[in-house]
Amino acid sequence: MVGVVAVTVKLFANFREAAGVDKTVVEGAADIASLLKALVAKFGDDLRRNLFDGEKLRDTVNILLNGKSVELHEGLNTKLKDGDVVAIFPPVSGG
Amino acid sequence: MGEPKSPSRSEKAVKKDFFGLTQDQIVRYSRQLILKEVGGRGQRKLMESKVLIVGAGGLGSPAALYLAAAGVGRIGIADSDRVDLSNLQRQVIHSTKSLGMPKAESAKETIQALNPEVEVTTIEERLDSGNALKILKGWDFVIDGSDNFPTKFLINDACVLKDIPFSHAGVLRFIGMTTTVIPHRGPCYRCLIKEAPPPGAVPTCQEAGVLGTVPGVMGAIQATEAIKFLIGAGNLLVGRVLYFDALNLRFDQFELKRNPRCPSCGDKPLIRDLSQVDYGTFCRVRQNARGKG
Amino acid sequence: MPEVKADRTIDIRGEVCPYTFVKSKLALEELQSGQVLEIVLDHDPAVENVPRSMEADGHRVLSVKKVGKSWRILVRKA
Repeated sequence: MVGVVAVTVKLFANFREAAGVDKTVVEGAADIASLLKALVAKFGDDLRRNLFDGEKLRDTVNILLNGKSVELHEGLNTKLKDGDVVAIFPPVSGG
Repeated sequence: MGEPKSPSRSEKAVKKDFFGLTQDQIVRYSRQLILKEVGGRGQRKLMESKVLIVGAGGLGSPAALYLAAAGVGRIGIADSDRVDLSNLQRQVIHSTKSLGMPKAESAKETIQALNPEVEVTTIEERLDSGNALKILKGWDFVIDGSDNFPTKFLINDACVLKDIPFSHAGVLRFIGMTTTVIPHRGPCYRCLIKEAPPPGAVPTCQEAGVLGTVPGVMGAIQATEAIKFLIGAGNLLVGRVLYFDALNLRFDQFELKRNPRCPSCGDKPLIRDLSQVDYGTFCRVRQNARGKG
Repeated sequence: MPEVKADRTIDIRGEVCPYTFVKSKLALEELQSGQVLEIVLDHDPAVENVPRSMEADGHRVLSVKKVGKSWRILVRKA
């Protein structure tokens, strides 16, 4: 039997504002795409609007899995395992 | 603009005692000389160091002021803009009387008024893929105080190519983020963000605003990292990204690892030459660029 | 008892706090561990402040003596 995959998610800036929490644990998400779906289901429309433009993930969503950009893994298809830590943050470039 | 050179020592009689520091230097730097992590040895290192600040704006202003105050021997200011009235809400190195002046020149005047011992190199050029390597050459540490993604990626790629440590930072509204990059010893900015979001996706400070103290806090952190690096003290913000949320007054951080597949600092880097990157929009590696095995 | 020989002497008569201990710390930084610094000073409050700040840094104050109008402090570097 495979145990439930529990992933810790850290949210920053507008994602934290939208979710109302800075950290949450999501169970049962097999990959990044399903993790994002689970987050939207948990925290609602405000977070969905911050993450997605219609069906498409916004370009301003940066996701790190255990310290590594998922873009350099398999993007939304990057698989998750129990104990993983995901950080979701927006890039800011002002100076 | 020549190669940055070591600062000249004060003309005053330099005694053998006290690391060759003059009486004025001992008084000026006394509050940091008595820190054991700085001391006379650290002060001499600072006085012999060269730090380049790209962008004399919201981040670059406090960074330049604190580095000058600490006695960094040579400070370079690269900025091609002129001081505008809308800058003064946060770019504290400039003042109302310097409106219309080149920012690099205005910053130089303020630095020399604060600490005449600091030598200042002004570079009134906009960093681009053609001049970046030449401008960045010879500096011990670089502060990225730029205000746009293309320049941030350019500084990253050039510093990784030339092995120059730098402090990255970015701000918007009430948010600031920063990380320190020691090329090949830790992750780089492209390990964090592969390429720039499309223009318009992330608003600029001009469009979305920024509280002046946010770059103030981040720029002061960047100067702190530069000083720590130069004197070899403490733990740098390498492999960690610090987020500052001014509205809720919180600092948070997350881990960042070097990615072996990073186009800039990975094991088979795609970027061997700045001409391989289109810094116009996405800062994407051009299609014909190939990693060297 | 034989007098401890100083490896280095700084004469900071005329200097006041906090520069008495700023200079003492700088001079000590240039010595090797175990070496002895002799500090000659004439600012009375420094007679307490300098040994205290040296000890706070872990160094050993060997002696504090009044010689004429000035003071002579011996410190062994930790």
